[in-house]
Amino acid sequence: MHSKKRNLFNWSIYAVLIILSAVFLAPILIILLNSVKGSFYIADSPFTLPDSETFTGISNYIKGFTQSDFIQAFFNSVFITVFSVAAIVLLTSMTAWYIVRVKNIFTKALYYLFVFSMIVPFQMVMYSLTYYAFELNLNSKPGIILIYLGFGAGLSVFMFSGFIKSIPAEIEEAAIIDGCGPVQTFFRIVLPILKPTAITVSILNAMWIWNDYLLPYLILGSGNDKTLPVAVQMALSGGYGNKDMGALMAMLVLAVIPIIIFYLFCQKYIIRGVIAGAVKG
Amino acid sequence: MSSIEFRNVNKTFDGGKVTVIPNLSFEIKDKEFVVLVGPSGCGKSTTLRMIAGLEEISGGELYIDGTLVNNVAPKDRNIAMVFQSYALYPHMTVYKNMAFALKLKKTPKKEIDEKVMWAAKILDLEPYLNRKPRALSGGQRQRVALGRAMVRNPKVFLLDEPLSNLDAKLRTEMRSQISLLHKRLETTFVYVTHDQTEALTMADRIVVMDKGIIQQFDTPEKLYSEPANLFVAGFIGSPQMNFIEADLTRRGNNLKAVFNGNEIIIPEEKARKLSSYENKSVIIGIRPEDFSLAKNGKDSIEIEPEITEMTGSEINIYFRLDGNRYIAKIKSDLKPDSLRTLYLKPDIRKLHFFDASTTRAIVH
Repeated sequence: MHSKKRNLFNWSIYAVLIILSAVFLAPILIILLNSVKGSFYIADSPFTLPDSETFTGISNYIKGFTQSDFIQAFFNSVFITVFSVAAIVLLTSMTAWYIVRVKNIFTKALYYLFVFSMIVPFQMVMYSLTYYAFELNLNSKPGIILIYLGFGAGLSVFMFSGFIKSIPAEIEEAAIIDGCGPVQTFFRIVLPILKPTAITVSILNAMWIWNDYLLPYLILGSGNDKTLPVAVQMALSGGYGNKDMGALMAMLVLAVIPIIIFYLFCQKYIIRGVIAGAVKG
Repeated sequence: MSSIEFRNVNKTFDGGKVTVIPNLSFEIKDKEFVVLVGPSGCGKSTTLRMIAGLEEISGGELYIDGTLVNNVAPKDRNIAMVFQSYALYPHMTVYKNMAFALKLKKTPKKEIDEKVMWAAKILDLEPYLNRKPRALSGGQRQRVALGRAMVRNPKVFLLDEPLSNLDAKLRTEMRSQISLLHKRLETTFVYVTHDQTEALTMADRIVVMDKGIIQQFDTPEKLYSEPANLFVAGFIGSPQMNFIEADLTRRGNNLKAVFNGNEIIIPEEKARKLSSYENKSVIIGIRPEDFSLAKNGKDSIEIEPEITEMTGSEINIYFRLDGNRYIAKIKSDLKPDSLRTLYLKPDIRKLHFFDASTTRAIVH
């Protein structure tokens, strides 16, 4: 009787999860289906599978590639994402190490400042931020990296701090006795131990920066420095309200592929990084 | 030569508000195995960390090998340290853990290889050189930590409760291995523990500390047979020494200790040293193992065991006298049902007498 009840409960859980998965996957599937359909058919029947009449092969992809700034925007996005993530991982891990190991009122205040920055919504600061970004000439690719570093620091410092707390200070003391200075201790001992958390921080920040639309739009605009999300939105515009939806869908597919590959490559580290330090090993 | 000398060393925290070590002066000789022992918070680990250079010295002077090292960086003190939590580098293999310090010193690869293999052979670590620490047992990890210290060929070995995380069987095994290592390496060893068995079995000399002050610095034998004060007497020995407050009175030629309605005639040799304590209170210490079973009440105490503990070849008997709890350890094949009413006879030649006000030992 009990096992029957449990079976029923399990199946209902599965059903809910399957429905949820479908809801989450549906947009990607719809984009994928429509990227190989003619523009007219996308508007007419967006949810149907392509057939011999509606299927256009890779022509949407070729059009998206040739008639937009896809390549340039792609490399802009790669540049900004790679360097922002590298800066975030390197600098916030160092900051977190300092905050955890040097205990005084200053580091305590600094820690709470970082945590507080996590709960400030971007929309609240975007106008003043844009104003000062232009004033300080940060409206460039290197400039936006600095801004991303500021926005990503809160969560990253928080995550790194949690993990560093679980590393026995004795390991660092052993390194000091072995002959390491602070820089060597960080790069040869602490940073390698932080690898799972560093990968998690990289994934979370890379997904956010790669897909971010509002900040690059406000800071970099739609000129030569524009990123992929802005380029996709700007591209292939015809008359008023008219867009080549097929090519747009193809660009979207191409835009999400790198980040999906990156995620799949590193996803096993996400859980490991999130739970790292939660229990004594 | 690798002696260590503390001269009026003190250690304070929080800008001088908290004093952990008020004034420490002692010398560890070359090639000596010295154990620092004491209860939690007595300052033994802080003392060790000051030798390592991991804690700054607030005042006084510390010499290693005759050189003042107060301001010398840990890496330049030519010491090696083994930590309680092993402190192995988790991302490196056993080989790399052991080779790390030599690599930092830019030692030639061939020499690194030779030294690591030498240590691995002594410590039976050869099959595990390519493993990461997480794939090793507690005992193996501790051996890697020892190996990491050995390859550096240090002047001084510092060991901070290295066996505390191991189970009882492994602890006994590692204990003898560390003692053997000391004999083999012929280097000065400073070892911190709160476990008096470790201290007594391994040390050439033991520093007993309490509240940052050295209570006694002596050989294990002396600490056991001639404790300097009540603290040392109570700390060294398991089960701990029994203490009884008694009044000394003279009747005729005999000096007697009177307690709880009982009387003990103090042997002549001890009585001479106690003459200035006539008609005063003293504290008598008697080790549990200095009781023996008596057949009748003559020169003995009648007790009713409260708890008995069988420890193998011996039985610990807990009993009360006038509300105070005492313990006797007797070698016996007594059956549990015979442990109802017993007569215990203390070996009066082995009584320890302490000054009741200063707690210092008067005579052993």
